[in-house]
Amino acid sequence: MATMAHPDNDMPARPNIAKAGLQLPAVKDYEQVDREIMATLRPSKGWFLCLLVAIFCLIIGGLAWTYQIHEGLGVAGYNPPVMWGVYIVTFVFWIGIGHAGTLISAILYLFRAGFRTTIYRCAEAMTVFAVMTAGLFPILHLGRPWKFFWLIPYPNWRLIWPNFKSPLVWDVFAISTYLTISTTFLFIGLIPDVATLRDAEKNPIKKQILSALSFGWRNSEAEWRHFARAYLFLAAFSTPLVLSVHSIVSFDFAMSLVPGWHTTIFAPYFVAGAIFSGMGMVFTIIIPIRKLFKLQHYVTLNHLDAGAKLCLFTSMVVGCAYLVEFFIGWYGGSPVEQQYWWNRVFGQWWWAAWIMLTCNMILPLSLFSQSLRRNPSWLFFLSFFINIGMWFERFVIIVPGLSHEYEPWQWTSYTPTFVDYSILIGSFGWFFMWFLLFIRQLPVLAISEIKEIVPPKLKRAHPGADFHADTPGDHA
Amino acid sequence: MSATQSPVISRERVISAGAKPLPPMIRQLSLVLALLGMALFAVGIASGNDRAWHAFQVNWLFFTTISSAAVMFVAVQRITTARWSRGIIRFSEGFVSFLPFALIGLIVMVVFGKSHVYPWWKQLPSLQHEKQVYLAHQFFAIRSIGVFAIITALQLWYVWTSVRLDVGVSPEGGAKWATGLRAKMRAGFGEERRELHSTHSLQGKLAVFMTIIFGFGWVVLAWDQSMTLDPHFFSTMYGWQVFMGGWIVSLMVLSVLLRFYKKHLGADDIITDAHYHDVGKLCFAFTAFWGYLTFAQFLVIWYGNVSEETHFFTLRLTHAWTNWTMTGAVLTFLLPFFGLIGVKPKMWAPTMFFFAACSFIGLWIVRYVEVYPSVYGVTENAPFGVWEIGIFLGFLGVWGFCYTSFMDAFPKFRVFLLTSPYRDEVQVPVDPRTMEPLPAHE
Repeated sequence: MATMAHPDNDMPARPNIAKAGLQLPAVKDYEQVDREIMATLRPSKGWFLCLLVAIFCLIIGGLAWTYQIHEGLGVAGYNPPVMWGVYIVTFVFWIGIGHAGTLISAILYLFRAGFRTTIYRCAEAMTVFAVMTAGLFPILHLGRPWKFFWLIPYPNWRLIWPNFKSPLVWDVFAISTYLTISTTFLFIGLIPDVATLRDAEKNPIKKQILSALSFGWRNSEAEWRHFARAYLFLAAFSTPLVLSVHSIVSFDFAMSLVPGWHTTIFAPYFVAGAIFSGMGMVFTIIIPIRKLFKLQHYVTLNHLDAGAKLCLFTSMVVGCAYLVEFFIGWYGGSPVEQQYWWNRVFGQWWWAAWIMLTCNMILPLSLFSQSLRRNPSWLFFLSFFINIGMWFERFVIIVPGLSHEYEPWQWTSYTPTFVDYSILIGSFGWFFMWFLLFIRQLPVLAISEIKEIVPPKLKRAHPGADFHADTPGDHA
Repeated sequence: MSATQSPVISRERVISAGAKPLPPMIRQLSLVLALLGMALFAVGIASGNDRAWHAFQVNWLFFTTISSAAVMFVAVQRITTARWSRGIIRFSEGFVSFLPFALIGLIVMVVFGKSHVYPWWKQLPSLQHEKQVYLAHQFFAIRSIGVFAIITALQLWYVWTSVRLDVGVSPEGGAKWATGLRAKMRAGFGEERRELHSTHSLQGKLAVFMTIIFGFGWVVLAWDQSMTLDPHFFSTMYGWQVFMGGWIVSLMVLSVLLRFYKKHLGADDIITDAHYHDVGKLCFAFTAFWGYLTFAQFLVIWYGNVSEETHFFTLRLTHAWTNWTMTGAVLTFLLPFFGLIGVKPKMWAPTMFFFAACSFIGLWIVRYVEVYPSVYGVTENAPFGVWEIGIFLGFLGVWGFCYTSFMDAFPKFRVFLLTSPYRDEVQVPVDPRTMEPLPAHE
């Protein structure tokens, strides 16, 4: 049973997806797919080493947080009125990372974009762990983190309800909904693959666990039909969430009157930036994975090329938003806004703004070159700059706004302390720890979806029986 | 959606299906409407009635954003190497024929109608310094016309490369006025496989360049032709929201055209139910997206409650403008969004026509509400009558005349990409010189 595949006559229509002959020329049959992808689950020294590093980083962050709880929030770099610093910057950063997964798995699924097939599992897992990481930061940012549940609206002895007019409360709903749906989506998509693992598993206890997780999947036509419908429904359901979550995060800023924050473009601009940063993190993760696990013939250069184009497109949307913001900041004629923009780009915060502009607008222009789009080393290198640039984008939005508001006597600076940096490092440790544990237990590439584009052997025996998908004549 | 596979359609079949001319009545009626509209506009100018100019601007914005967005949609098909749309995309490419007229219309507005069309034109010295700089007369005129001329040129060039492939493999035929153009397209037309790869490569570059120019250019045009009519208002979202309105209605119009062409050309084998469903889904998706942009802009302004921003919406939600604004929102977003959720309304012609009509009329009202309140301010009687309707019909006539002239002059299907044995070679990145796929992996 380890070679199960989606029955051909039951396939949902995907007429725009090129078959494996074009997409994956080195992948010949189902057995090869099973063998090579399940090989990623074997432990290796490299994997242990990476896990140790991740846990070490997590311990650094954990110790810093313990110190902060003991000493109070004053050990972080807050400097009134800059009361949102590295924690909120990092919160928005991780929420953004969590966007690309659902974009790739849901929106690109609805658009029948073939290049998603081999990267979406990785991106989906990244989404779940990134949102889990982001969810820590509002708690880290609290003076009394053990009271975090006060944000949850439920009848309580205090007779206090959260302020529903506050975008911070909208965040609670938006992010918890997003985490729930993206986790469900990841889990549903995994069912056929977990069944494949179950069939290949020798250890009876593990087999029992995998059997439960796969809901006793038997590869029947009825199961595939239900699966396809559930997957399509979840894809459609997740799509508006991709837009809503980061839009609501953007409202944390746009609803206020802080200079540089109150601007109408924030919602779609944050979404585009989130997809951009998410694609950056996808490259950071998938390029080493394809190299270490020898999966270059699955995650091909064509897939990286297509992903890089998406990255370039979102970079340009973000760049357009930067320029529009600069222009309107000047055109609006408000001296406070003009001062703020000047201070941000050429004044006190010039270094942060130019890191942002260089990493998010200028360096990604290199992706106009096809040879660079198809160069994994360059994409990996660039992805680091994208991650840095998108972290600084949030820094540049949050800190200069608060440090340069309406009253000149309030103008100040902000310097993060070792506690801020340690917790930032800890968040990477937390994220990568979960991700590494995931790829050790579950397939990092979607076995069943890859098999969908590999033609069955019988069809291969009669080349004429294979079809050219989707010229309108095929579309009857 | 059904997607059973059937044999590839023969070239002869596609050529014969696409050669049938459109009913001449459409072109004649369009011409009559165009002439009547122009005559009315001329009367308005001669009698010094500024309503004619304002109606001209509303309709210019309405028809031009739709036409330009339709060609942008064509370019997106190339960027994503989409195959599903090959049988229907010429219907959107035809929208490009309106753009040269739109460029003339813009020149007329900016050069001859400036003091009538732009309320700030005569008050410029009394405005803030920043507005004086940005709206300085010469800078404004050169910017507006220049940006739109570049967009038009790129979009014409792109459609030329697309049509050329089909003319190159089809026998001579079509409207006489384009005989010279077709001959030019055929001149130097080489071997089929070579033409496919060289054109695909060129179109890739053009499409990307068009995307950039379209995105940045329409933001500037939206500021110049709409937002700055109220020089005290500014919103960073404004440009995106304006051109996405054109995008959604271009898809709605395409959904109607599909049904018309299928019936008229008897092309059941080329235009399929799957196309109805796919275009219907795009209509639904972008209706939702447009609603998202519009609401995200409104919510931030409402919540922020800053007078520089709120005055724009306060005006549009009070006095004579309330009903117009609300009707625009209901027709453009509310009805199509809830109506098009299911599969059946997208597939059944009457419902799809109804929602396309809602969107079409709704966007016209949205354009009207963008322009008129900024010009007429607080009033108890929103100006709407023979000028607005007449000039709308005139624009509709010009659009119809340009469109039918184009469609009768060139093949109505992408003959080449539907029937060439090499058509799917471009599904993965190819070296256009060797015509071989690039290595898929290291």
